Amino acid sequence: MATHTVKNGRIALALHERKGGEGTALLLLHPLYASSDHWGPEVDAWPGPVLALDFSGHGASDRVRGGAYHYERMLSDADLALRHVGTAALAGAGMGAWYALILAGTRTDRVPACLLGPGCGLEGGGPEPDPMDVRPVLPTAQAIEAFAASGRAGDPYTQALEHDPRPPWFAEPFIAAARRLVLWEDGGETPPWWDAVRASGAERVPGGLAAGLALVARGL
Amino acid sequence: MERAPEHPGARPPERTRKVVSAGIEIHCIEWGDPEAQPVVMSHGMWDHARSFAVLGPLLAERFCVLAVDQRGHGDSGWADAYGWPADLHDLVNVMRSVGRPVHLVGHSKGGGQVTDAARIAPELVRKLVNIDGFGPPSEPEGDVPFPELMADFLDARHRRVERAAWRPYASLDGLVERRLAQNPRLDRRWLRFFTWHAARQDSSGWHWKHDPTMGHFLGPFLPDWIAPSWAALRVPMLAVVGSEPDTWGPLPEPLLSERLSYVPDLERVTVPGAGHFVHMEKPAETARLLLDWLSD
Repeated sequence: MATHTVKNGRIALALHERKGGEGTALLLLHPLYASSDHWGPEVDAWPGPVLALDFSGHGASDRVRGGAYHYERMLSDADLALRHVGTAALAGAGMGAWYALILAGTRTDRVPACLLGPGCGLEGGGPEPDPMDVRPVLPTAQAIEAFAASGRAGDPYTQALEHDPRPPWFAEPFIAAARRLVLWEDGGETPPWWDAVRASGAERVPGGLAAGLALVARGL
Repeated sequence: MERAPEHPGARPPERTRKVVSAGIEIHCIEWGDPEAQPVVMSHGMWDHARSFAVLGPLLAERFCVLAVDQRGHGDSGWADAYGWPADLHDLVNVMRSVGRPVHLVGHSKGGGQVTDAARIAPELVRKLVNIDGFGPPSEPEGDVPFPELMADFLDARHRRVERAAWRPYASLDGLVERRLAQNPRLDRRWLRFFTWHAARQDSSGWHWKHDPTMGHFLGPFLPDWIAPSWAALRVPMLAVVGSEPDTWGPLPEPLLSERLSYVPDLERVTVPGAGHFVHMEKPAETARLLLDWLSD
């Protein structure tokens, strides 16, 4: 269906409308190094409109000239996509789950529920930076070559996003503020911020994305 | 077009250099013998390479001095987004363009960044001078919850990146007064020189040259994470502050000493009678200090 263009400063973001319909919209936020293609046909069972964002430097969205990918950029992508849609339930996987959580706690008036799932970038740079870690955040020339050789799509500078810290103390006020959080779990290892969501008493769905979306939809 | 104002001791650059870093053109100005030991200098937020227009030529007696315009500042290119790691990437690329190990000198944001550049690329650095760039104060225990701060931050941030240009001022002096209000310790004649190079004039008036979309950042970051990372420094640091309280800095002495206690090889100096902009307020004293400390 239609692809909407959402401007974030000089960047044009692609927001793909997978299906229309009545009722609460679903906004999908993909993992690191993925795109809106990450989402399979199970999301189309959602009763209302379904829209999938390509974050900056991913999928059909523009690359950030100069390579400055970081927290503020990705969160603002998701926030502007939400502003475009109006009100929406969020579903995020991996990196997209972290930003979905922060947004669900920030825009409580427009996010009735939020489903978080596993995927690349879930852990980010860990709960806090290692002070003795002297690796540069922006990728070196070798890391850029290796990215291209790996056959990954998107901007090689998005590798900087692997360094973004995800501290549980930072997540906690957003967990407390969010209206409804649902965790879809695959039994894999989970980072400390995820454990903080669990500890808050969030609902947990072991059955995967389809089961998680069905649970979220039933509550609306 | 108004002619460039002159300032005592400020010398025009002898050479310029452009380094392309992640697709962005980084502009540098240079003074001194190209064969001499290189010194790379990096300015503070909203400043530019001419911050060092007096200090640089004084150091050029002995060194090849190269002052950087950070991305989005001065005569360097604008990027689609900004951030600390991207500035470090640019600085390391400038150092690589020099082709041999350099001394690094930075002020404020540039001081923090030369310190981090020395952490991640010690093979390119001999000695390090940080002028009052020791990070923001520790996070205060605020009453406003993060989600509310984040909502306000995102709203302000969206307005900022949607801003296409700065409001034009009728005269250069309008810009000078604006800067003077923020940094009342700085000399008006110096600011007239400095602001001329920070601005451009067109048919609508005078505009700042720096990118209007640049701004501050809110996220899961603690100022208290900065100092422990300095334990990874492998080059000697000279830490310089002014004696006088100013708009920014110096940090309260107990916090500054605690942060600097992580630096393995440290020398400290306080320049009497200077505020945050030590190199602009006291260029001759700063030059003597640096010529002495940087010479083996």
